[in-house]
Amino acid sequence: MERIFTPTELSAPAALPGTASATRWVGSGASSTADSRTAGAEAARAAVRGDDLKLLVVFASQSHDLAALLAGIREVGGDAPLIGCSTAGEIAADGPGDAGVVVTALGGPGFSIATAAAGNAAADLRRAGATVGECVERVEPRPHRVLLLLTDGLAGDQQEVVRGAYGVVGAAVPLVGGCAGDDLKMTRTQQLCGGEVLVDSVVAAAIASDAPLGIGVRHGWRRVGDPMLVTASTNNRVLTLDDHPALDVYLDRLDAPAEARTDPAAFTRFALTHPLGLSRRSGEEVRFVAEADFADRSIGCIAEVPQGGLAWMMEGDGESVLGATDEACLDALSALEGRDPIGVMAFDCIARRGVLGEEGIREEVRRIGLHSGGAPVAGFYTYGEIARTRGISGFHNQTLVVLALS
Amino acid sequence: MTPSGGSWSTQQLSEFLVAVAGCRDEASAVAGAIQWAAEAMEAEVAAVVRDGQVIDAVGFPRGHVPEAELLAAAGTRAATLSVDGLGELRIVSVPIEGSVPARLVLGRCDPAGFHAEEISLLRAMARGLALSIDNLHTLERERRLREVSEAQAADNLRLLGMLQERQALLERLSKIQVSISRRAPLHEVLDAIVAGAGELLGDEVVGLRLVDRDDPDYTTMVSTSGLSEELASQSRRSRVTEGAGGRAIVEDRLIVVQDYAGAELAIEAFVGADLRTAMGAPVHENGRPVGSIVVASFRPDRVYTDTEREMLLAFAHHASMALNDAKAVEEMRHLAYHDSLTGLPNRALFTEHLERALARARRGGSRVTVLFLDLDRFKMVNDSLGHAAGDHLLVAVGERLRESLRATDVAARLGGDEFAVLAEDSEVEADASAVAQRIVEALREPITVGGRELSVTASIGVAVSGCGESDAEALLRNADLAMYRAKVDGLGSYLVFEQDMHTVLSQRVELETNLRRAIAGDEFVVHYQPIVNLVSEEIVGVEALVRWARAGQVLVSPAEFIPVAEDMGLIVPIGRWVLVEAMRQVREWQDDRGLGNPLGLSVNLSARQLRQPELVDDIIEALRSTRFDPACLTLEITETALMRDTGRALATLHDLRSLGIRLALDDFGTGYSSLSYLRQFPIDVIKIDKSFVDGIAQGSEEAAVARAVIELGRTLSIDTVAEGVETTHQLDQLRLLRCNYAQGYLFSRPLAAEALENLLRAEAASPRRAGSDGLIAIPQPRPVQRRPRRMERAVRG
Repeated sequence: MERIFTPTELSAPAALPGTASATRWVGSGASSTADSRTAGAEAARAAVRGDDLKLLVVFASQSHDLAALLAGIREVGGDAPLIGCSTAGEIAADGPGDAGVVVTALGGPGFSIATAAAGNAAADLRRAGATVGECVERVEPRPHRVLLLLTDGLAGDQQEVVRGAYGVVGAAVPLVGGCAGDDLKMTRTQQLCGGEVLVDSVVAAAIASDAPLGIGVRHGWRRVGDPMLVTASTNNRVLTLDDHPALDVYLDRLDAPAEARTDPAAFTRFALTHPLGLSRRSGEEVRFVAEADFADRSIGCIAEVPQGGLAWMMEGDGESVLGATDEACLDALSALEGRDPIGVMAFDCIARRGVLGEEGIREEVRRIGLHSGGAPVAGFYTYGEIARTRGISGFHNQTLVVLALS
Repeated sequence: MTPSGGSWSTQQLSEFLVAVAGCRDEASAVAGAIQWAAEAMEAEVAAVVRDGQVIDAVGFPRGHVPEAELLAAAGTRAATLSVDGLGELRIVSVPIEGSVPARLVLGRCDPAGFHAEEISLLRAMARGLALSIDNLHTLERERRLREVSEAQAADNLRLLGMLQERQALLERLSKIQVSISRRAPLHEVLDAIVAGAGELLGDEVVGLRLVDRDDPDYTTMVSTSGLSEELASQSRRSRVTEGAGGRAIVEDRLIVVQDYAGAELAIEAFVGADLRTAMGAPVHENGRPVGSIVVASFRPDRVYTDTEREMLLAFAHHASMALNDAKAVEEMRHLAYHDSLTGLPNRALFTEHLERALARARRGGSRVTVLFLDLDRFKMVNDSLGHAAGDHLLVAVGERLRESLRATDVAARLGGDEFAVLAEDSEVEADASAVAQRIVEALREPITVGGRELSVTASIGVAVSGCGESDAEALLRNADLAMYRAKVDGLGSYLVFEQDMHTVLSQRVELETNLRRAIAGDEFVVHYQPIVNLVSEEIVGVEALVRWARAGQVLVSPAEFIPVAEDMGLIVPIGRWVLVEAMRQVREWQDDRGLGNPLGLSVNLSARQLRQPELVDDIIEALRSTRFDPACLTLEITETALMRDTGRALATLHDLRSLGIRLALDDFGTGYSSLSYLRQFPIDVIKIDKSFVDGIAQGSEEAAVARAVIELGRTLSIDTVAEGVETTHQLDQLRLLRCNYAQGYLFSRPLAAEALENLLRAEAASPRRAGSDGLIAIPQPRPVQRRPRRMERAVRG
């Protein structure tokens, strides 16, 4: 069955005052057709509704043959620059979905785009971030720029990717994006660039625009209980908390159910809604607990947990998490300097999906749609989110990141 | 934004130290440090600068680090940095006090700048980084030494294979190595090498020569064996081109002479002694040939085999190692005991010298003089011209000091802008004063730094041993104390220590302690002195004056504690408190007074407060919290405060003025009284100093100045307030000159809030004829042409 998520021609081409030629358009389309090539072509056809196609961004489930899916998309989009990744669920204007594909298209002379990919990322994540960051140097100079990054969240400390990219582009170019998913199998994610399906890679698109681009980032979690000292950790692994094995402290403090104490899958499901919070200058940074080592009693997170720091157990509920959705959208839109959005991209942590439930995520996507005022919406459920607008850190967990284009 | 919770900085520091301590080399420690510091502070950019260079930076597009701007910002307090696409960043920079001083620089978009706790955390991070870098340097030095000895060990192994029958060589070499590593005196090590070479090679004569440091055309024999006394004496010095040893140095290779008498290079004395063969190998220091080891024989059939040539090279190599090691030890000792900037001895070495000098003086019954120098206004040079200029200045001062002293005197840099001089054998105090005078003279000539001529003066304290203190620390402390007193007496002077200085110091320390306690214990009160409109006679405003009601004692004079509070920086919290308290109180009186012209408030702003980046925010917050109308507030600033960092002061004053606050120039006439200040700064009110008001009745010069100032005020539309009015005659004169406002004991002394409230009530009950406790009734005004209203706005709003 074909399912088209979005009204495809979502906004009239926006014009800059006085420069009628500098127009931009954004479109998105989705498909839940089982045949990968057909699904790709359907979604792309729905997304590409203007001339001068500049970029395709693809979020797709691994239930698809991604090579065939790309071939279908390129039947429509030709050789236009393309980046994308596998997901843990897709987001489109009329709701969240699984086992599907969402394509976003950007076009018009008001945009300038350059894309890049870096392979073998796990060996040196910072280098990979720096390599793709270089594409910012290739994009035409426009007043508003952003670097969109799609990474392999299972490849190690993703903050390193952000550091690498930041080292090249500097503070003036915001970073945004997310870590690819694999439908919670936690084994291997894939990235897309041009006509290629990659693994262990970082892909990126430098987007330069004549009009403002806004980024919002919120999590909606709050501290619970007393702080714990991270007494031993190495990068992403927490070995001890308050000098006791980290796994035992984690399970006991949260009064975890019996199955989470022995079964890795049950642990990951439980941990999804019980992140750690690290104290930072302006609040706390959330860390997604991805897995546990039942032998050495340590826990593994998606990003670095520094030794010597304080950590809290964090809790959230439907209300706080949906509140964060509204705030993230409003933050992104308020950066558009009064313009209406012509497209919105969402990078939503898979863990939030766990807290909200199926009903909740439908409500979340509905709210994003309301905020975008009919502009096309596309996104995916991630294993980690990227948003750097202020400061130097830009990797987040259990967070919603919204990119609004005007 | 405020950091969340008190543990925040401890925790950030702990994370930072763990991260930086794990780095394997300096570059990664620096890169890690700026990354962590920026992450902890949520700063957009961070950098480390050293020696006028940006060592590493983050937050700028690759290849586009704005070096010049960063360096300028690093050397300036409360700097900003403009970055394309980001706007204005607030910059903070803290010193990294390692063996090579550097600075850690952070920039953040947040217009609130950096919080005091954050700056203190940054300083701690910088200290952690300095320690890590110094540790890494030490490790690196050790690693290099280890590599050298490992390389040596490899050579030894090779030799072992070749010279199995000569096990003794290795034993000998090992012993030499042990004595090198145990840091035996250099001459002992070289003697052991010479003896070993003689024993193993079997030649009758062995010698080790080194090129003269002062005269590189000659070499000196530093160790020999097998030479008669006469021959040793004849050959002790020889030209560097002579002999097998000399040629080995010049050509930097092994030289073998099988027919010594027939060789061109032969040294005559040896030919005469019938020397037949010789072999010389070069000895190196840091890779340069600086000497040679020579074996020679009287046997005509002596032939040097390849193995023996290798052996001599091995001994030469060990001699090189010993020289290098001795030099490294010397350098390390020098580094540990000398200031890296000026090359002068540091505090540790100075103290050692001083202790030895004191011991000698005790034995010989002589005296030791210590001079403690502190450069005057050095901080101003650093702040206005940057740290690099400050460093140049310190180097130049170090050189001047060295030049002005006798060879036996010792000059040292104790740290910062503090130097010390040790002079032995001074018989009398006059000798000590002569040394101080010489130094003052030496500094008199301006010093050129970065194309600018700077006039430098130093305050000098002199202490002579035998005046009760005999240990180094105490003597230095006395000199320090005398310096402090000299500085108080006037910059650029010197003073000899006297016992009663201790008493003065302890009084000052006690005052400082009490002052800190006073802040914590709410011991301050605000008194108010009315400001009167000279036409209407009404009290139009009050000047807030802080008083210290020390627990159980009478009020402490502001003249006594304000300068100390300024020095200690406590004036900032005190000033903040006075502002809020006075606004709260005056707002209360305004509410009581009801409609009509609201009472104005004047508050003094110190130079230190004016330099605080948070000043404007503090005042906005105070206005908000007390719901005080900014138009009723006048801030009083002295000329001296404006003179420091004029650009910044100007910006701050404009910010304050844009809030609707009025600005008064206090004590006008006592300082430079430059017209340019009145033109340049947004001044609304001039306060005429009491000294001019005092003289106004006599028709003296002061009267002329007062008249000129009032005229000037009228011309520039600036209101005038006469301070310290005490007699009706003065009042009459001020009225004649059409001065707008006045304050002084004639109207009322500064009063506690309650007393002032009574006064205001009395005035309300009997308008235009105020008079009650502490207030003298104002004589009837004479007819005036114009009723000025401008000042009413200034004081009241």
